[in-house]
Amino acid sequence: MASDTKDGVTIEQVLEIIKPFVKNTAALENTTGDTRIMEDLGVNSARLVDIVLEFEDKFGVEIDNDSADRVQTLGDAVQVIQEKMK
Amino acid sequence: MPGPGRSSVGNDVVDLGRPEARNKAEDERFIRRVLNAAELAWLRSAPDPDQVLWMIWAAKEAAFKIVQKQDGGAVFAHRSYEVLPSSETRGTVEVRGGSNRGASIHVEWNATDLRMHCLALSGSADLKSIRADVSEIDHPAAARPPVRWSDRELLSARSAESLEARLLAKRLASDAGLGSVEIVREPRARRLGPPVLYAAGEAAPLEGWDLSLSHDGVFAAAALCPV
Repeated sequence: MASDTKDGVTIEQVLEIIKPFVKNTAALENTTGDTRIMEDLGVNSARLVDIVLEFEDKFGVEIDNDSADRVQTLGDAVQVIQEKMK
Repeated sequence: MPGPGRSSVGNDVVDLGRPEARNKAEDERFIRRVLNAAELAWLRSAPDPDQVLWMIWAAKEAAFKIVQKQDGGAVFAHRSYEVLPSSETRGTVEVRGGSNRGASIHVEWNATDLRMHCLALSGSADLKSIRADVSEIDHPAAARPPVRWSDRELLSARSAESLEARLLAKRLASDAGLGSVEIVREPRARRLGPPVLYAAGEAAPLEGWDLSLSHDGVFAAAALCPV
């Protein structure tokens, strides 16, 4: 698993939230910031909305629609959450 | 922006049997995130709110697949895509915000108790010109002829489900007289680009046809349309 930090938010933290939604669990063995949440991890688009709502709760941020649409990879998720925490 | 002229096709399938699809219309936060006021009113007046939720959802997703083809940087805000039914099986999706504001896309639903499928079409072609199919992945009765995938196809198909959707599309292309084709999705800045058809082994895309792929749960779907 990748270990990546951007100003305090880690891919591990993001993955903990995403894991329950992942269908392709084998892909969790080898994740990086470039791992695509839908295509690589098998998360469907409706569940990605659920994940963004979980990010809001877990990190105490509000993620607008434009920013939510940027969440395609694990690295995107870290970056968007970090931006909203500032 | 989608409009008259060159046609584009989109499609989206939702597996209604997945546990997370059931009673989702009761998830107030989710529905407020993805539906606008008129759609919420439609859902709340429906005898089967889940059916309406997934109708609306599939229409928005199918419509966005068209918008994305013509504007690779398009932002997808579900609430900006308003679904307006004109009958039980047909309607339009009007894009209300963002750089594609004003786009209008025709949609057609085909539902069973197990899945919701929506076709979307922009341009001058007729919905009847779309060749589409939905299959159940790993269905015991499904024939599985050996398929030889090219390297460029495998690079952009990251799951068995996406290969199943491509397999359906290859059958549709064969039925349309296109022969053996390859289906490739190129990475774009924000997300993977739309699927593009190539005659097998050719460097340039196949002209005159547009393609859309979808999968969810145990279902895969594909739609092919002359442009």
